[in-house]
Amino acid sequence: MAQAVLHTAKVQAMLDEPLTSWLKDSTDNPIVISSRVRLARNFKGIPFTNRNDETALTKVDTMANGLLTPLRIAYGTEFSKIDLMNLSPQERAVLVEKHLMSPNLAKVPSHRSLLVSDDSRVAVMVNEEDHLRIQAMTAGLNLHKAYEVANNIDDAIESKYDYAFHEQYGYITACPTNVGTGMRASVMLHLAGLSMTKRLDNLVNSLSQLGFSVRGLYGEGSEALGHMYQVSNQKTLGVSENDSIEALTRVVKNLVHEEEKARDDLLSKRKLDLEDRLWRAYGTLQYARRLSGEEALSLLSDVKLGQDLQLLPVSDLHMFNQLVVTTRPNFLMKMMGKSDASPDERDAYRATVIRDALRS
Amino acid sequence: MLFDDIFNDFFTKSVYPEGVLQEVQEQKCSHCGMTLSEFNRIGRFGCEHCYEELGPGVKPLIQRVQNSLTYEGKIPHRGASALKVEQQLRHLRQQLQEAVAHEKFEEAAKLRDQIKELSAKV
Repeated sequence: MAQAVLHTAKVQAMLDEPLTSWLKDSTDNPIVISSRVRLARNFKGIPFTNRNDETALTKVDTMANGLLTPLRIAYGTEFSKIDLMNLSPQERAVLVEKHLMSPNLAKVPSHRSLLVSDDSRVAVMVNEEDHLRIQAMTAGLNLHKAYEVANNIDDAIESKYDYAFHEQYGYITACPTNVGTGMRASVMLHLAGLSMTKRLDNLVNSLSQLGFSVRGLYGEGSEALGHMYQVSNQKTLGVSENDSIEALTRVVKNLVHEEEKARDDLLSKRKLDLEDRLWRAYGTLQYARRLSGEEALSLLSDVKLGQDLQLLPVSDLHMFNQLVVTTRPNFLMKMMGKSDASPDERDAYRATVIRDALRS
Repeated sequence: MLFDDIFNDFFTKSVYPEGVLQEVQEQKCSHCGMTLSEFNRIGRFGCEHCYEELGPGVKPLIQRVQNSLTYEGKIPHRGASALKVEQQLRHLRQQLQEAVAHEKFEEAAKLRDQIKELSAKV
């Protein structure tokens, strides 16, 4: 059992809230869930995290303590530093499920921490694969805004500490796939129509040929649970941050257009099939007594599609985004107040949570 | 993980032809102790100096991964002003080439003056 540590009220609220506040921002299009920009940075003269050098890890951690004030001044809200050693494994997993940090950071908690703004839009991972991973998130498609925020944070850090920077290669990172701008911009999309019409595989292939990668809900190697896909840039050298963001924005707009076409096709050519599928999903979620995580996300995706197409009587705009978080195993167990719930117990509780949400 | 397997195999085989591998794997970073064989295994550099210290294979590796060797991004405010000018010059020269190619000679003349002016600063 992990030692129970009392968190500040802010950190506790961050762990408890089912939906990160910024996801409630209104967006123009229900297909685009969120945008994110992350910058990989390393301090000059300190070996990277993979060297596992105690002195280096401690030094970076101490430097991170010194960032709380500059970050507050640059961004305008307070930042909390969450030392991962002070979280239980389950609480760490919840932060991963909420996309505030990577599974990689949660794996080895010692010397690892997260600097997070009060509104949860900015989260800086400390001692991940690179010394710092600056992340800025927005609802909907707004990569320019996310970059602007990340860039300001980056400037604030650079005004205090020197970064490892190479004349030819730009910002130096542990992995050569990030060297240069160190920037990975990504957009989370709900592509239910393209998945149903089986047109996604072709699109994914052509996107990767164009230098964009498409991954599932939880990044590398994760499946496209609930028809959620993350599209991101691959190259970090030979292209500027702005050009990269503009190219990705164009690609996402095209994908949205294709998704809309797929939905129109379904509506005009297979309306009854579609309605039957969506109502069945709605019915199952309203009455099922046991739901696995995977089944829940797949049915929730159908219900969201029905909501977006105004085929189902669901009005709560945030229900999908919220349930995507609350039905994940660790968040669920936190709500159950049980860190060792069996899969069967979790599936029963998940079904209850979803039934309640659909009734309210 | 599958991704890592492909990645590492790619690192090893793409940069060094067979036979040469054994010899060059002894290369070691004098700053952090990362060896080329460990780098090939984990696919990560150990410190900023590895990019130079791990030898001539690094450049073609980056070229392969990124399909470029020219940095076009943000430049830190501190201590890199020469680099900023260099980046500007590169862009101007590119524009000049394009202007000439499209026979826009007035624009080309202007760009040439700008390049001259900027080069004098370096």
